[in-house]
Amino acid sequence: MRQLAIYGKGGIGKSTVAAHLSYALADQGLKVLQIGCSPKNDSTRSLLNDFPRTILDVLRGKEFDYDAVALSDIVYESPLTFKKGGKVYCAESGGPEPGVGCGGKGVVEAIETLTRLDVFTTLNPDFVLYDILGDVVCGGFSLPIRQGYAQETYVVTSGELEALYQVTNVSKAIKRFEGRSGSKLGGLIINLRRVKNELAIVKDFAEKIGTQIIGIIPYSQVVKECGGEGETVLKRAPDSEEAGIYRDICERILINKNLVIPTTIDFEDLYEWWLKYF
Amino acid sequence: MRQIAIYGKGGIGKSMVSSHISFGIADRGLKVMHVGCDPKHDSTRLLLRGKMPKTVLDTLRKKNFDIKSITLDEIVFASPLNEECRGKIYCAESGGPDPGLGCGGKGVIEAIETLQHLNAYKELGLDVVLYDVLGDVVCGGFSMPIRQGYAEEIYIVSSGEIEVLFAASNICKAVSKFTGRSGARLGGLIGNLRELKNEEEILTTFADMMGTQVVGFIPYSEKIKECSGKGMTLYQLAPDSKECDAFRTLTKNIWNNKMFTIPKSIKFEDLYAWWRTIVKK
Repeated sequence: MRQLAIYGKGGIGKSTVAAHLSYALADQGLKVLQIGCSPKNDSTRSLLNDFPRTILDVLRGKEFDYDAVALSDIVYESPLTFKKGGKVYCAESGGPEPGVGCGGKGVVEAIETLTRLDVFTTLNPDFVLYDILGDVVCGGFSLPIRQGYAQETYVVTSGELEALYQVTNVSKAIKRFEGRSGSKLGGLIINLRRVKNELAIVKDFAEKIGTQIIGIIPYSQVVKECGGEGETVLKRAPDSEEAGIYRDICERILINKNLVIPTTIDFEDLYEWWLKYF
Repeated sequence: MRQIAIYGKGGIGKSMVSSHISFGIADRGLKVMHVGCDPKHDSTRLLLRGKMPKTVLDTLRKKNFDIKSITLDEIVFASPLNEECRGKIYCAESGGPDPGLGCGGKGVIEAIETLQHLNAYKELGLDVVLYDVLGDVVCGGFSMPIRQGYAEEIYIVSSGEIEVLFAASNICKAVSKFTGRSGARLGGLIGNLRELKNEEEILTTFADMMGTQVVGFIPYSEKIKECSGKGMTLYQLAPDSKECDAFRTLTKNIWNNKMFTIPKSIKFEDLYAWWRTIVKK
């Protein structure tokens, strides 16, 4: 079983990337569990055609009595048909009630509940994907790295300063927990946002922090349209160039052995460097 | 003194929008403090000529959270734009947790408490405080300006994208939850357009559904993207552009706004079902 964390800034497209990756992995005949770890709970929408009940909502409904929760209350199988008998299972952590409590709590509760229910042995997935909000790399949102659940982390980024900053934060968390968790950075996935010199920026950045680029996703109306319909391009436009790009990313992750402890950069230095491109 | 909070999902452009509002309000000859409440601490960058100030949380950490050993000039910075502005802009950034540890919303709580402790608002004789707050995680920390009633007026920056509307509906829930104790009201939505189909209609209808209004639309524009690269607002970069005019209109509408409401709440499933019908039109 390989466990992957996909981090990304809010709005950068990490759920789109994660869902496509799960889809492509399943199309290889693999069993995949995708765990959405963003309070927005829409990570798995394009795989389920719907929004599942979140783990935190289910727990709230049962007054946090873990023994009353069954795996089928919180994990949903995708109704989509994948090639070679592949399967995708989906779970969403959920988030706090608006205005009270802790944002990262959903992630902590979700993973604890799933492991209590022995999800990994019961479903026996080949891949587990954690799709995680990277804006606030607090104790909660860093849990998959900190506790070593995800041995491989991939970060979705554009050439925008905020997106790169978020990569440096995830990198710092990986480095910080290096000794105890064994979690490493597997690479960057670029989601192009039409920034000037964007490709050069991210390539240079990847080199600076000692990692590689796993894939480059063009800015695309097709992806936008499919997203609007709540579907992946792999299902809705399987012959499109974009679908091919997602399949390539999946291939590269499957054979990726280049896992590193990234070099960390302080924001001020990142900013000085980034400005040179303008 | 008016206290305004601008919320929005990460990446939606709330720092861009709120920096322009701060400049626009200050340019009326007023004293404005812009408080960035996002761990990314780049909210005030456009007001500080691209520089990133030291954050309140970093300063507190260095002093082992001994709040008494901190002075106002260590955490509040006057904008260099004050020379070309009729009023004054002061900037502060809350900061965030050490990556991987601690709580994300703590910076917001600590920042506001420290500013209060130092009596910043009176000391500087402020007319307006503007909080620019990350809205992805409406937890106890990030909702503090609403919950404790620091901000009486809340505006939400939104595009027509479903994730962004969802974040907006969460912020609305927090406003209606705390309105009784805090007095906070929703002043409206700020449309930051992303070239989505029927986007203005989506936002206007959504505002109507939530019992609020759209106070301004900012067009999708390459020129606005340049602001971030160059570390300045359009008031410096392209004061005669139509984009800068959009910010002027927005600021005017906020300044003259009289429509403050307790937002209605909407279930995510209903929001999504509605959204699908409107984007398909």
